[in-house]
Amino acid sequence: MVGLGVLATLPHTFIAIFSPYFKLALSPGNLTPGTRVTAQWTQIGGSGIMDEMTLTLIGEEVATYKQGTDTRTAKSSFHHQLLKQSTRRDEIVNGRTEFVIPADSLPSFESDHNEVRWFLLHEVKVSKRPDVRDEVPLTIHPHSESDFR
Amino acid sequence: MNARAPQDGPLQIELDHFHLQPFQELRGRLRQTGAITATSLRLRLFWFTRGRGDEDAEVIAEHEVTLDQAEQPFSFLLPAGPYSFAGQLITLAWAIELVDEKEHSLDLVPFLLSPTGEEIQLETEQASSHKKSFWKKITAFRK
Repeated sequence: MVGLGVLATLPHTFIAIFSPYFKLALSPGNLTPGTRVTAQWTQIGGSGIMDEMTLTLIGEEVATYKQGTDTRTAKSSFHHQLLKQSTRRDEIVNGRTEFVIPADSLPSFESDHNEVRWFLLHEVKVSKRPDVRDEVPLTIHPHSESDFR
Repeated sequence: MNARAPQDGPLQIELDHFHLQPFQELRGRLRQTGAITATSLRLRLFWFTRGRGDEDAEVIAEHEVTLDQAEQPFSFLLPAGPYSFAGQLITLAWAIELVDEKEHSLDLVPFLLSPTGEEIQLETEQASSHKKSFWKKITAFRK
């Protein structure tokens, strides 16, 4: 059964090798709540007819817990903000957008079993190919001491 | 470290404020109301999690306590974070705890730490729980 499953995914995996792939750059690199950010994406390889792209800012809780002998993970999204959506090919291949990290947002947090994570989800629909779905993690730091003076 | 509130004992923690900002000084006092058998006392500043995930905690600072008066003042300089928050899966809280030499909790007082001094509420948008199985990985991959 497991072997059949692996065989079934092989063609999909193989085709995905030729899918478009992108570089996503953020400026500035040091993020805190309220920071204005520029995100810039560029296709750096692969090919395919790209129909649509979206860029979404997502914040989510991730909790890991033991249940019997299993380790389970639960996720709950608390922030979902569409930053960019385009069907223009030139914008899908190369583009930029600006956004602001919400001023009242919770910074990133990570401990052994609990996490608050932020990431940019970059999705591109590609005809007759697996869609592109890249998660780019963002580390949002707490406010610095000077912010409270 | 013990996040359960103990019963009233001969030593009680009192805080000046319960809504605090990062980098502020948390001030309070230990009030002695009865005889003490403990030979050593320590005050801890720590955060802990509650909720769906297994619990995590971290001690940020710890002071040895010497009781030479009925009211013993103390203070801690608060760090940048993490902030107090309540989500669908995770709650993070801060507290000051008094422990004896056997790590028994004598008193514990929670407080809030965030830029507004309030607990940040995380509204849910989408919740899911899953056990990672091979079959689920395949079906998700093929969508």
